[in-house]
Amino acid sequence: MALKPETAEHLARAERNRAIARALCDPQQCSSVQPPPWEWAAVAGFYAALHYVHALLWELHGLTPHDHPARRGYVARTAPLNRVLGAYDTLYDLGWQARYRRTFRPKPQEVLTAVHQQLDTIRSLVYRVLSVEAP
Amino acid sequence: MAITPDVRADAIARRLSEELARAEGAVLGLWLTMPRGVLTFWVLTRPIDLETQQRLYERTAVIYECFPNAEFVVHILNPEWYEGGDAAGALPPDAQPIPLPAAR
Repeated sequence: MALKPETAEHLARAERNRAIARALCDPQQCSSVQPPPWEWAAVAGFYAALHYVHALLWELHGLTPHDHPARRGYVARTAPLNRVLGAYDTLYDLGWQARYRRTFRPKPQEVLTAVHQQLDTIRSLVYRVLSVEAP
Repeated sequence: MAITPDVRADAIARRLSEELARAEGAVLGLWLTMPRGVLTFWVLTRPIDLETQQRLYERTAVIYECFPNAEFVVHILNPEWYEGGDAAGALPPDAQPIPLPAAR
C-alpha cells in the first residue's frame, strides 16, 4: 500500500537530514571546520529523528504534533514509538544543549553513537512499522 | 480544592523526583522552569555514559502513566558534556529546585 504523500515527504526530509548529520560527523567532508562540527551533527540528527517520528504519527494516526513537548508526549505514549524514547530524547537534548549552552562540549564518540546508532534505531523502527524498505 | 496548573506542576515534579531518586545514584539534583508555560525539568547528574543517560530519559516516561495528558521537556546536565565538567553552570538562573527523596 502506498504511503500518504505527507508521510513520504517526511521520510525524504528525514533521509536528507540523516545524510547531513553523517556528513558533519565525517572529518574528511568537513575538513575546513576544526574541530569538526559535532554539535551541528547532533542538531541535524535530531531533525532527522523528528521527521521519522512525524512520518509514523501522520501515516498511522493522522497526527502532527505542534511543538516538542507535544511530540515527546506522543513518542512516549504511542507504541511502538515509545521503545525509542531514550534515543529520541538523547538526540533532542544533544541538539538543544549544543545550540543554547555556550560551554557544551559533547564528546565526538557520543555524537557518533547518537547519529549512527540511536538515530538508526528510530529509522529502522519507523520503516518496519510502515512496512517500507529503507532506502 | 481546584487543580490549578501550579498544583499539577508540583505533583508532576514530585513524581519525577521519586522516580529519579531510584536511578542508582546517577542524579544529583532536579530543577524546574516553566518558560512560556512549558514544564521543563533539568536533571543534574554525576558524570555518566550515554547509555545511562538514555535510561534516565526513559525513566521519565512514568510521568505519562500517572498524568496521561502531561506535556514536558527534560534536559539532562551531564558533566561529561561540559567544559571543565561544569554542567551545573548550564542551569537557568530562575530554575526552582525540586527536592529528591532519599534513595530507597
